[in-house]
Amino acid sequence: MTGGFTAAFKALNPRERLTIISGAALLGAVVFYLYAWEPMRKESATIREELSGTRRTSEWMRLKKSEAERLVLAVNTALKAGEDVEAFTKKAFEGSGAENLAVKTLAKDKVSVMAGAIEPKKLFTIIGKLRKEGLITASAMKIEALPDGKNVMAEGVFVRMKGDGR
Amino acid sequence: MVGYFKKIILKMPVAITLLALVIILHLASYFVEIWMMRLENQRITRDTIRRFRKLFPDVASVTAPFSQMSFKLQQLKTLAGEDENNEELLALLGKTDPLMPAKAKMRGLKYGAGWLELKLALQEEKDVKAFKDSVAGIGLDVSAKPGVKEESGFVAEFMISQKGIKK
Repeated sequence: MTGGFTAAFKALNPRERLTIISGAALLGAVVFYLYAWEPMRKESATIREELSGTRRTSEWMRLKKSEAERLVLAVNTALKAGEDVEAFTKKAFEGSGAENLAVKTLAKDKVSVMAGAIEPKKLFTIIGKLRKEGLITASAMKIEALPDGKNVMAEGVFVRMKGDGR
Repeated sequence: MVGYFKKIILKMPVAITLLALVIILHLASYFVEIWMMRLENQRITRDTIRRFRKLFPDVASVTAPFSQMSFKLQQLKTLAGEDENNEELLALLGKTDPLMPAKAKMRGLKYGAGWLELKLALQEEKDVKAFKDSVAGIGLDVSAKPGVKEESGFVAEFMISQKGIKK
């Protein structure tokens, strides 16, 4: 078959031979471009992009490290402090001057709080302390101003937040 | 035909050799570049995973450090009450309190399921709309019941929550 092809090729005039040779060379170049050059270029571009993303992630993690450390510490400390919800809540109300205070455990990690009269500023400070230092949050709350204009009556349900901060 | 190629090559040996060299060197540079970038990528990924594990030692496997760390940070922020979309009582109060009109008095407050119900005594009727607009202006959902005129002013009730919380 090769011999036949060579004979046929030799039988062509010089211009036809040149055309076939040029075509073969062009075909070779196209095949080389499509199957060697272009895949290599694409691979290089893909990895370059991947590397750039990895670098961005690494830099972002470096920047967020201190924030994450601070949050882990704060959350773990608060989770430990607020383990006994009733005791922690009672302690938070100590010295607040709340009248007729009642703190009762409703379920695990859940207490009800009733204060007949308390200064609103003190009440909100206590709610803030429970939240920040014990991860105990108000899930339901009702506050009414008392006729004396200074105090409020408050009742609410407080729950300890779930999750671990590690 | 091969003979013809040989003839052409033999006619321009320097040019053909140079062309072949340029192509080979270019492909080699691609190859080396890819290899070095892969190594660099692996090194940074290892380093990132090591740092992630140091921060969160309980995580079983680290497959996507960026999204895993984002998730962990969000979780921690929620627990620490630093979430921007915090729907807790104090967060809602903290946002709305500075917007209350001067001399407004709180008559009562109810909170549950992310909704804060405020009963306020306001000096003038226009304060109802002004307060509602300013609360809406900071991106919270707010509705107001029309004010009832009393001796002390207008008593109005506002329902406030983060956007998208169902009543």
